[in-house]
Amino acid sequence: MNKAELFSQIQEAIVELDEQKVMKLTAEVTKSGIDLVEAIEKAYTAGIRKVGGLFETGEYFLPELIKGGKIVKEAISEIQGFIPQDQIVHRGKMVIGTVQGDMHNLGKDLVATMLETRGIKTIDIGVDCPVDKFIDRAVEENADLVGASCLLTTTAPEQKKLIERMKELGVRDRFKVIVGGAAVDLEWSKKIGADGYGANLKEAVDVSLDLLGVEGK
Amino acid sequence: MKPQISFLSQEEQELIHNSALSVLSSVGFKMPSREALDIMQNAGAKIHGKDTVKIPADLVAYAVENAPKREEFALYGREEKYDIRFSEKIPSLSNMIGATHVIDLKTRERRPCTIQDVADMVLIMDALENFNMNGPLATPQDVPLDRSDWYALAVTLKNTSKPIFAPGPGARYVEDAVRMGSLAVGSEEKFRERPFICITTLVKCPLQLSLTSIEGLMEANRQGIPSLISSGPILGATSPVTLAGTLIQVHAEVLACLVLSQLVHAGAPVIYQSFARGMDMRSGNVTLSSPEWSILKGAAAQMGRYLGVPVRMPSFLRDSKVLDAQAGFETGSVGLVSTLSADMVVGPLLDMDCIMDFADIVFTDEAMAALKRIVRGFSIDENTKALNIIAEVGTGGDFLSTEHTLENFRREIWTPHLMERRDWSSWEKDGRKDIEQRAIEKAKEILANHNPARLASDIEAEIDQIARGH
Repeated sequence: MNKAELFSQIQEAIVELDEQKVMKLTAEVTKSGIDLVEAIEKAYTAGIRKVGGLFETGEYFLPELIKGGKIVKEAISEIQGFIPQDQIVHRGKMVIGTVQGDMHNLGKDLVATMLETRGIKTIDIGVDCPVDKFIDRAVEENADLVGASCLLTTTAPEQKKLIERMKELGVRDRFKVIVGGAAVDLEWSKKIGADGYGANLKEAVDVSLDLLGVEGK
Repeated sequence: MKPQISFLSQEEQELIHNSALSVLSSVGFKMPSREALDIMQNAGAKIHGKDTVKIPADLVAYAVENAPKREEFALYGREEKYDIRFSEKIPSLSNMIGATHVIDLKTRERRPCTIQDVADMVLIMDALENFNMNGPLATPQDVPLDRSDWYALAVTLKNTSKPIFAPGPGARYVEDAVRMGSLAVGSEEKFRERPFICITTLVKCPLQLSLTSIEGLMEANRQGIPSLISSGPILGATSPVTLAGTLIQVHAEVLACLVLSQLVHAGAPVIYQSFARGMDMRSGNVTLSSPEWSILKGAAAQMGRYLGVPVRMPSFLRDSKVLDAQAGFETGSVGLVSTLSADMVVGPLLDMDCIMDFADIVFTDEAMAALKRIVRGFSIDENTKALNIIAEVGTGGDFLSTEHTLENFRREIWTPHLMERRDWSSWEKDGRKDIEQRAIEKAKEILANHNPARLASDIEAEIDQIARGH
């Protein structure tokens, strides 16, 4: 099988959500001597974008999009094991977490997974995170983007605090900040001076990619 | 007979109950509170790992036996005339809590909820006869947000004497609610005799309570305040995507909280509720008015009745953004199932419980009145069979002018206030108003004219002090 055929088969298997087939083809990729960085872009990211397209046209639903995301995330992480550390290129780095006092993780986890499949390194710091935890990790990892999720009205002020604290520490300019979660809206994100807001999974992913300067969709 | 709706046979109810028991004894329930764990352990439950409690069936049986049953259950109003008895066949209507935005009564624009909005919505619900419980439908955003639930409770106390349904974010809130309620009735003793604030405990699905919720529930149990136990998993997200699996999980979650409450205080009044909801598989949003939601409300209500405890089911939480045809359908379809299966139904909010519309309160009051008429059904006796009058009128006569019609029509026929039943030309002459416009007018009229049973101004000031955290 030549390279183009292999890539196309991988894309097809991703669209069919056939995990076994994707992993089998992934084993071939790692043995074939093909440029692995190119494979990630042209087979896997391309595949998940096709799944995303089917989701947008209403043919696929959320569980299918998530399954596709999981398969691609797993395959990419498998491939990365074969790439020398210094050659792994991320299209951006994001620290993502749920704010202090809030234990909701579902939305945040999905955003992280989908961004991983798009070549973004996501550092998930979990739930109930004090603002300093976001900032410390972002500084430590030299992140490009910080994502703060919150589902409770009472914890929304934590997002505001995050941005204020960044200013206080003089690091606000080092990161873009995106906020999301059921308790907040676009108006709020503007009011607190966030760079972006995601109303749902797709928007959170698209806006994040946009903020990272990575072509969306 | 009273009409009822059933999704589960007796056998199926037992199956769900037994499956829930097996979940509690094998998987367990997470209670991250040393105090709660000690209480559970001392009663015979096993602690698994750090803070998961495996609850044996006999403990559940003990709790079910001790929990007050619907026949003996009452929710008190600050004024006695508003007391709610669950022994009554006709369901009552309670306020929902937790929206963040309102639709402005004048501009009809969506905007964040203010403390004045809370005062207004509570005042409107105080005036409307089909609202039996009252409280902050939405959370004010123009007060310190960490105290917003306290401010909302204070303003509720000032604008209604109906039983109050409030959130219950932790022990401190419950203590303060008791202090505020005691001020309103003159003494703590009087408040304890007739506690008129009911708080809510939300399960963190699947199968856990947060420390704050545990402390809030235990405090309410100790104080003798009725508490609502509510499990609201999302199909396919925080519970199985299958309705049966979700129902088992819901029932297990309510039972676990019930066990804790009865161990803290045998006989603590608790109400069974489920927010089990669907997820829109396109947007990932929750749905609070889908067909699955209706089924889950009906089936969960049956599981609550199976235990014998009072059942409260959220009903008028529409996915629709505004008071339109979709909202109307959602009100009717979910409302019918809920009123035919629960002791108390809940609403009204729009936009998947994020938006409160003043006009919607008035609309829902009317919808509830119609639904209650359906639930009341009809009785068959000598008078209602009307054989005499059928004979008297005979063939080809009319019934409109008979005494029998005059004496019975008010009880038999429900007459709306808002819904349009006039002919086209009368409606047109009157400005072609739809139900939303008519509801807006009524809401404005209530705000201008209604006088709730106010508290003395020095008492109000003391309640405000507590709200501010002093």
